[in-house]
Amino acid sequence: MAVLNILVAVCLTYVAILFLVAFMADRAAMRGRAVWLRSPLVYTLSLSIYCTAWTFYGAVGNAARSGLEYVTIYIGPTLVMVGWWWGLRKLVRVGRAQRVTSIADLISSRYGKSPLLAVMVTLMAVLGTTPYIALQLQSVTLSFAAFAGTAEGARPADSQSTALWVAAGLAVFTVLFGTRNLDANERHNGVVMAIALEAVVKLFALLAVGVFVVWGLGGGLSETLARIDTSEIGRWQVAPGRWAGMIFLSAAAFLTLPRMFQVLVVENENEGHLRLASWMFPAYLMLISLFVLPIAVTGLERMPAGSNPDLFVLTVPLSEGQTGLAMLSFLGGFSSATSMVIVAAIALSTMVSNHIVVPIWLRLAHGGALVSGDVRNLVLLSRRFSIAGVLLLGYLYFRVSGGGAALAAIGLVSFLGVAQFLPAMLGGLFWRGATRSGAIAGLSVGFAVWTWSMLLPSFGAGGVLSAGILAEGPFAIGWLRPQALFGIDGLDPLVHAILWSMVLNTLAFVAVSLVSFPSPLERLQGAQFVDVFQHSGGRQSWTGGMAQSEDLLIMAQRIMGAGDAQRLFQREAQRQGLAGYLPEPSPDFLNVLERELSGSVGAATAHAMVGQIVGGASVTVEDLMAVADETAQMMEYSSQLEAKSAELARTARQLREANEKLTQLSVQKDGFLSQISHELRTPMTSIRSFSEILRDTAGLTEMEKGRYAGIIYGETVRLTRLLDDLLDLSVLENGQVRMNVSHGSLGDVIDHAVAAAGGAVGLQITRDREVEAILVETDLDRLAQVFINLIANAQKYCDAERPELRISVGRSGGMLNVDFTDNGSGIPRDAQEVIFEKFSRVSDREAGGAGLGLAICREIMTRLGGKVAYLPGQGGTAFRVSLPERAQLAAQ
Amino acid sequence: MSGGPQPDGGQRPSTGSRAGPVFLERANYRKRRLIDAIRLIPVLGALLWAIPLMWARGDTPSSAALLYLFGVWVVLVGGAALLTRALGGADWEDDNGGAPGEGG
Repeated sequence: MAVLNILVAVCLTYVAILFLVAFMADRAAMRGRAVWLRSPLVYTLSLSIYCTAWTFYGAVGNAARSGLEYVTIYIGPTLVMVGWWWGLRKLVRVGRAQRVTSIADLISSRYGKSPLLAVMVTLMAVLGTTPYIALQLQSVTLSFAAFAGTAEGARPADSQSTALWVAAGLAVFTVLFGTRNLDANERHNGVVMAIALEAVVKLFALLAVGVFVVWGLGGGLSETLARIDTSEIGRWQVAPGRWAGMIFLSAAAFLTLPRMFQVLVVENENEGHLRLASWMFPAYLMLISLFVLPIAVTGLERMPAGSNPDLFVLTVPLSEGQTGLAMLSFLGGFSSATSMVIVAAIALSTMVSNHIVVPIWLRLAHGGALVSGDVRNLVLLSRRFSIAGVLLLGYLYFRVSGGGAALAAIGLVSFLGVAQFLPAMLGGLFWRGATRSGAIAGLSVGFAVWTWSMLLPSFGAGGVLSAGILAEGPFAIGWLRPQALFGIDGLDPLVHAILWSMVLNTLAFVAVSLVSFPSPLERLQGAQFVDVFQHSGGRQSWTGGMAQSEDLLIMAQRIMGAGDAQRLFQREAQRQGLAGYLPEPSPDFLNVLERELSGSVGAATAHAMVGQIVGGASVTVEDLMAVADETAQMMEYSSQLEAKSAELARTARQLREANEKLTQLSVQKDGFLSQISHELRTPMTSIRSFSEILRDTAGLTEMEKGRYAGIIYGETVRLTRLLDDLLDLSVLENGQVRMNVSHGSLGDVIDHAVAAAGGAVGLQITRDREVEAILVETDLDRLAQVFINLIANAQKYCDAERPELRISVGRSGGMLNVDFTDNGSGIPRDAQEVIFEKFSRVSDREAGGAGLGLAICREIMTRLGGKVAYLPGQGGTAFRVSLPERAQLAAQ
Repeated sequence: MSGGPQPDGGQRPSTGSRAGPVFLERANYRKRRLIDAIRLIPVLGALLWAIPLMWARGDTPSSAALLYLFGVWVVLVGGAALLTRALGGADWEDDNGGAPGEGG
């Protein structure tokens, strides 16, 4: 038990060190001193999460069971890595150019950003990874139990509580360092650093055990080789089908496992790191699998029959009394398990939250409370819950499955599950004709075949599928036997599942792609993926430096204004030691520029704009949301501005109109004054001259005196009349006049008017007295004044030989009309509009009028609620006086 | 940016602009062949590791198999290391070979 306590203490210390390393790395990254954190070496070491507890314990177990077959699991990734120029380079470039956050994101964004595909891939990945996580928990539990000395007969309660503690601890670590912030690039410095450390620990532990076995127990290299040949796995016994199939499978899984995609593509800082990793990671794989066979052989020799070969790495040093070495070995296994679980949980939680939780939430929320901070918190929260959920799933699988199956078997089930992504992924990268429908078809078919031929049978006969179905097929249809599809018997179950799932997957993918037609977005994304080197090549960054700066300057000028932008660029160029306006687009300069721009357009938009020009990278969902938020605010602001500007325009128009009116009035006033002075001056002049004659001329006859006095009198009368008119008009215009409403017959009013105008002197007046017999209620005197004016006008201006005036009464449109029509030549069209203005006179004939009569008429009629208007087309001058009907009482 | 491309013009500006000094052309050529070699490594690896398919089961000693498999591994790792190091340079990512020049 003392050993167990030490073990727990060592474990906790180790975990504490991991926490510390992750914490320091995160801190350093935040302070921008992360250069050494992001060296190619760290990248290479982080890839080692490919080697999980399956490698650490399971490879030896596999070797003990089937010899050298285990190396296939490492040969596949080795070929992928040394063949980086073929595929990985493109994958990483696409991942960086498109800012891909997970394999689900990659596939969905390649096929027109299809949410359906993202959800499918996410669910498949969760389904495929859960057993794998369970496997890690199982291995930690087993190794713990082995240490406790109760390897095979571990009490279930113990093992389960161990697994639970491990799962909970991993969840805490992952939440702490995996979801610390929502980085647009989805990079986790702390986690990657911790994983790199764990990579060293597990390699060192396995090598230490290997060295101990070969040189400590085996007696040297050649002796160990000889013992290998004499052991029960001393002969080559790998079936060709399994050899080829498993190499293919491991190569495929290396590219498609969510956690591998995370470290290979998402956490990749610099494509150049691939160069080092392309040979160093194969070397790592070689080293870690180097001593597997010797350890297996030694275990088979030295351990009692029936002991679990999966634990030889631990039990061999233990049985030899090397507790320290065993402790190291335990730590190695612990490292393998934890690093895999951490990264897998991060990768899966990213997928689950990005493609399932957040879209559902956004749809449910309907954009109701959609503010920036809201969404970021939501994403982080959903990631944390997803991490906990993924680990919980793994733990449940572990409890349900009871940890029975051999480690290697579970691992292979997972491998083939995620390998189903391969056709859609590679097709998307290299074939522009690949379509969304094709990808959906391929994934569905491949996954169905995998489930039927591998996942379900893996629970064993009588597990999910009954022994009958396994042997005879469902409903005794031989063609559908899970491990002998289409009646082809005799294949190894693994090879059978690989063959059929991949072949049918690829066939469905290609066939449906060929017959379906992609959407425009799919075609665009397809071109961007397949031709990624044309779109974002090194060539661009080689020649594009100044061009980019120029583009940036153009953009900055549009946003900041030409002067400010040029000053900023010039200053930055000087700081870089360059002449002119175009600095190198260095990160420093870009940061400065982005900050400057964000002052104008908001941070997210600025980032997206600079990113568009510099990185050619597309915008992430987070960016878009932030942009949408800012845009909405800007749109609201701009609509407010628009409303204000419309209001201003309206006011300005009103002001302009008022101003025009005032100007007009002023002109009218000037005209009026000059008119009035003219009108007053004429009679005054004659009065003055005749009174001078009367005063100064002696010897005037009585008759002359009388005539001159008559003229003076006449002029005075005219003056008085003019002044009366003016007074009248001004009173009317100011609205100060009071109307004396009374009843009377229209005919009487006309009679009165005709009489007042001097009767029918020189004017033949035609009337219809019967129609005129209408009782009206209005100011009869004022109405008569209008009539007098009109009759007098006819008297003065009618130029016919025998002037006639016809006065007719009629009704139209609720008005009572009195028309005064003479037989003269009428008023010319262009004069018709001004005759009602003050002092307007149509003819030059001096007829004694001041031109105020019609103006007064109009004012009076307006006061009476009616109007007076010129009536064209009547053969002579015609005026129509209209009275409202209410002014007219019921006809008698 | 290297002159307006005029398809109906007498000479092709693209080839004209690419024709640099002889030694650069040669370096470029070397680089391409280096990339060819890098491309071939996984093919070689696949071929060599396919040989066990022909081994007689139950006959070949495991130690020999072990040595062969890891020998191939060492060759591949060594070859990849040498070639990628030889590739070097900042413009290693240029896929189309259009790089105007490299360090020498």
